[in-house]
Amino acid sequence: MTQFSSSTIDDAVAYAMKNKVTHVFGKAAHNLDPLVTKLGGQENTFRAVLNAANGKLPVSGVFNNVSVNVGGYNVIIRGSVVNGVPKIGTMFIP
Amino acid sequence: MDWKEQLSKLEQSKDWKSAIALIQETINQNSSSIDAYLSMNYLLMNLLVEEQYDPNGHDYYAGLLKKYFIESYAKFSNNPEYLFYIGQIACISEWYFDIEIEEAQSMMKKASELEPGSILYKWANYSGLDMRESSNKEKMIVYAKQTLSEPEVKRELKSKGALGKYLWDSLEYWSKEEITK
Repeated sequence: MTQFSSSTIDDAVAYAMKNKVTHVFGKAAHNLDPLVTKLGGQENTFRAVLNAANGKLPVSGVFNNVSVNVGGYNVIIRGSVVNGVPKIGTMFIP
Repeated sequence: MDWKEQLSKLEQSKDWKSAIALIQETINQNSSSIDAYLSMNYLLMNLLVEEQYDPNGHDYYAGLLKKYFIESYAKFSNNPEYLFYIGQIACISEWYFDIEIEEAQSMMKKASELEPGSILYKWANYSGLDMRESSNKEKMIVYAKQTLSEPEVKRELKSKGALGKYLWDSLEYWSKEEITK
């Protein structure tokens, strides 16, 4: 079951592409390069992860260590749902 | 060994409780130390967002982070050095400071206005750019390359310990993007 509309996911992707690219993709320890390559870019990666997390996140507030499977990779995400929009703080492949 | 060297060793061994205690003690001894407050804010933000810890400790660490953010902002909100670094820390996960991302970006912009000669503080001009636009990526790449070539920036960031390394690594990431994209 999904909890966020496609327009809310669009907002979440826009937020991430404006504010979290450096932190999320700039840390080598996040091991995201293979997934980004597989999905064809950072925007696609944010969108795929957010779609996979749709239905797994709280109505509001911080979420920690939510695990999603994207492109055959297990991705851990942390962030917060703020005013109905899921905001990714970090994500990584353990 | 001064407190920054001790802190670096504790961070490397991921002894977070001892690291927090060390900075708390440093702040108790010198409550006007911007570096100590920035170290505490970054350590707690990094712990909450990036590190593994007992989930039962989340609310405690989050509360401590908010306390040190409010306390330090009340003391240093007109200091450009503080504003630049705290804005960068806030941008990692601004909800832990109970602020909007635009407020974090405003802190960095104010730092740049107060000290317009600092190339590092000009980072504010590139914060919040939509990286789906290739022209924005290009701007960030050019800025990162220019900034990394400044010896003063290297010295400045090195003096900021783990926070400085985080920002240095971020600039390096952007400086290499042109090659890989």
